[in-house]
Amino acid sequence: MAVTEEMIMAYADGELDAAGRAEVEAAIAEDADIGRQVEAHRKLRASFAGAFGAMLDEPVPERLVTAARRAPGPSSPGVVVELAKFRAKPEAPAARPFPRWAPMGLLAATVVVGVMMGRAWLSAPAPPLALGANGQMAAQGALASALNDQLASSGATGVRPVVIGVSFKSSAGQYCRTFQLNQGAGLAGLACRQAQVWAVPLAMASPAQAQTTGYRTAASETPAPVLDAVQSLIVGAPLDAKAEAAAKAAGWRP
Amino acid sequence: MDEFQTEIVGLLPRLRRLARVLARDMANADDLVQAAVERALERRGQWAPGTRLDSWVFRIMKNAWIDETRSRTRKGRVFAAEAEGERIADQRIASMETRLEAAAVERALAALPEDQRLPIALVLIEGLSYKEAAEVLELPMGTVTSRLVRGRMALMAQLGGDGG
Repeated sequence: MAVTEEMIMAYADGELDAAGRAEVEAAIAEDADIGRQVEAHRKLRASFAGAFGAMLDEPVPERLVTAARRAPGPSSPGVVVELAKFRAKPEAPAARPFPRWAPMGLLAATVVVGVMMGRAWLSAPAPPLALGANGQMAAQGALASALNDQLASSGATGVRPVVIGVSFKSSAGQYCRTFQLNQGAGLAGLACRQAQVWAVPLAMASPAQAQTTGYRTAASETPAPVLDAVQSLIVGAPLDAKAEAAAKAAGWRP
Repeated sequence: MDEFQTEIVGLLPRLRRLARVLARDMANADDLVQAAVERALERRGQWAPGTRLDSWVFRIMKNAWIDETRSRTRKGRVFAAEAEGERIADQRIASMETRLEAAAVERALAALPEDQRLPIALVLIEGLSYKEAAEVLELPMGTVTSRLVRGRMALMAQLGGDGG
């Protein structure tokens, strides 16, 4: 019995069971043209992957992100309501944390701030983050000082209130640094230097480190979403000790 | 913001890509994505955790598209001819040759009848299995498979494949 075109296609797509596969393979053994058809199906699939893959990197229009982030319904957990109230303050209308060019990974990561921060950090006596008028999180207090002054490569040991992981230059030309705050519940995130402040596009709950093991926070101790954000922003390699000291001396201005 | 919404935000690039296969021009495609996202949020209680969220939102988008095309037909509106160059493949694709090939693939897909475009997109672009595609389309497997075959034969003929 001749195999059908449906079966040839399904074979190329890995959709057939063992009996079906055997049937098509027997047909291929008899008729090389069937083998060529299988190859043509696979080639078509590969060309689709190539043609449509790059579309995923296009920036998503703001209005779609806004639609997806609309205030959730009553079934949502309390922490979300808490942040929604915070956002609704008059000085922060229509939170718009990222410009249009922000990479998708970072946009998605912003959401992590909302989910993970919760009440503790927003109502702490000396919160490390503040919501600016532009709807963007910014570092303040001890965190801002550490971002300004502390070198990742300083080699200090022992538990420090703030540990700087890596410093690097972003695709937007800013200096960015990862941090771990060892106070309260612990907070890890990413800060990028803007004209006046360290903007914090990503922060998430991260248990305070019992002890630091040495020179810099090992990559394995940095939460995956923070590492992902670094990967999506970094240009070149992280700053070495010399470049980091130079950047600090220049006030982290590119 | 919660985990559900975070996942929807993460799906936006794929939703836009699929919407463009249906709607042909970018503004209409983004309107379709927005409609689908809004419906998904309204009906989030109907999504069964542990099942594929992408398939569920694709199905919502398919239905939003059917509603949209019906209302267009009622109002007697016709699609504007697509703007020249709007669907040219992404400019960041490295080589000119690759870019031309990608544009040819897009054009060939756009030329297919609508009932073949969506099954092809779900299987060849989104990587769904035939069964998953049938669930999104709310059609029997046999119907989906035969539309896939017809669409792919046409694509291979158009793109100079040697399988048709």
